Amino acid sequence: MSYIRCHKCDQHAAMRMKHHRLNLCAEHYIEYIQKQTLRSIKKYRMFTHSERVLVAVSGGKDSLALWDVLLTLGYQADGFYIDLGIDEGLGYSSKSRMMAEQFAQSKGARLTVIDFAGEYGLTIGELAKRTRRGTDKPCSVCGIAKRHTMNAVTQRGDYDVIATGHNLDDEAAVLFSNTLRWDTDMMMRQSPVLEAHHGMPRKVKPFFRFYERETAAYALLRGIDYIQDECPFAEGSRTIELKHLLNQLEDQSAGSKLNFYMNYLKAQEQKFFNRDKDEATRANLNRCLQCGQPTTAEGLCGFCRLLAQSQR
Amino acid sequence: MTIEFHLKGKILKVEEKSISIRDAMQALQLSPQAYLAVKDGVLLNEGDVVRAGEVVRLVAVISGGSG
Repeated sequence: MSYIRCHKCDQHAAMRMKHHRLNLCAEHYIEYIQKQTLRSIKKYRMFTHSERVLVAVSGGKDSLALWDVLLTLGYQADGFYIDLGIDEGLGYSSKSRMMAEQFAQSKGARLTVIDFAGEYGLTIGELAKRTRRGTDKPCSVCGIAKRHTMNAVTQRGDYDVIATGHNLDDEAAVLFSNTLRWDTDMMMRQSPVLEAHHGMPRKVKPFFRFYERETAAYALLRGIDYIQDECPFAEGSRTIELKHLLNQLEDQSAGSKLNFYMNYLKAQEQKFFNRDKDEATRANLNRCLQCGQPTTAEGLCGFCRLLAQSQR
Repeated sequence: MTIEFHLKGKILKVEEKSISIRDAMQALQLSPQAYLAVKDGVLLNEGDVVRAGEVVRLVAVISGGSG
C-alpha cells in the first residue's frame, strides 16, 4: 500500500509525524497518544489518580478523544457538556449533545449536561444579539459563558480539576494572535496548567503537545463518533484563519508549530515575561456580587454583566 | 481514470491512473495538515497510493471559534 511503515512493527503506517520523525501503525499510534498524554499529565503535574477530573466535552474530536484517553488511563474523569442552543438550521447543539451522550453511555461514564437556555433563559446566540456583542459571531460571548458555567459546575460537583481538549494548533493560534498584537498580559496567562485560585479549580490541557490532525486521527482510529461539522458560528473565524497560516508554515517546515509553542513555554520558564503585574491582578481580584466568582471588575463579573444587559 | 475525494458532501476529482495522497492533496490545493484521508475505513498516510476508480474520504480536522 505504501513505503511508509510503522517504526515499531513494520506494518502499514496510519500516521506519519514528520515533526517527530515518527511513523506508526494504528495500534502503536493509539498507544503513543495514550503514553504521551500520561507523560504530559505527570510532567506538568496536572492531576493524580486520586483527584476528580471534570472533562469539558463539546462532542468534538478533541474533548471526546481526551475523555477516552483519561478513562483508558484509569483516571476519575467525568464529562460535562453545555447545550448552547446553537441551531442555525443545522441542529448543531442537538447533534453534538447526542455525540457526547452516546460516548458517555458507551463507556458507562458520568456526563453532566447543562441546558444553557434552561439555566439562563436564553440561548448563546440570543445572548450575543441582545447584548450586541458579536451579533454575527457570538464566539467571544460563548467563551465567557462557557468559562463561567464550567467554573460553577466544577464547584457544585466538588471536582479538583477541569481538563479541556485544547490541542497544539489551538494553543499556537492563540499565541500567534497575542504575539501579533504583543498582548503580553494575555501571553503570560497561556499555559498548559492554570493553578487553582479564589476557589476556582485548576485548569489543564493534557493534549497541548498534539497537533490537531493527531487528535482527529486518534478519534478515528478508536472509532469515536464525534461531530465533524464545524460550529456554524466558527466559520471564517480569526482562529481558523490563523490556523491555516500556521499550517502553511508547517507544510514548508515540519515542526514549526511545535517549536513556536514549546519554545514560548521555555521562554516563559526562563522568566522572559515579568509576571509581577499578572500576580498583582490575581491578588486583587474581587468577588462578583451576583455569582461570587472572581472578577477583576468591581460589582458584577463579565458574564453576569452580559446577563444583566440582555434583560434591559 | 478518475479518483474521487469526498469532502463535506462535495466530490473532488483527480484525473490520474494512480497518485499518492501527498500529490493528490497538492493537486487539490489542500494542506495535508488540515485533512486526514480515509479509504475503506483505513487511515492513509501521505505516501499511500490510490488508484483510478477508488474513493477517498477526506476528514477536515481544523476546528475552533473565539475570534
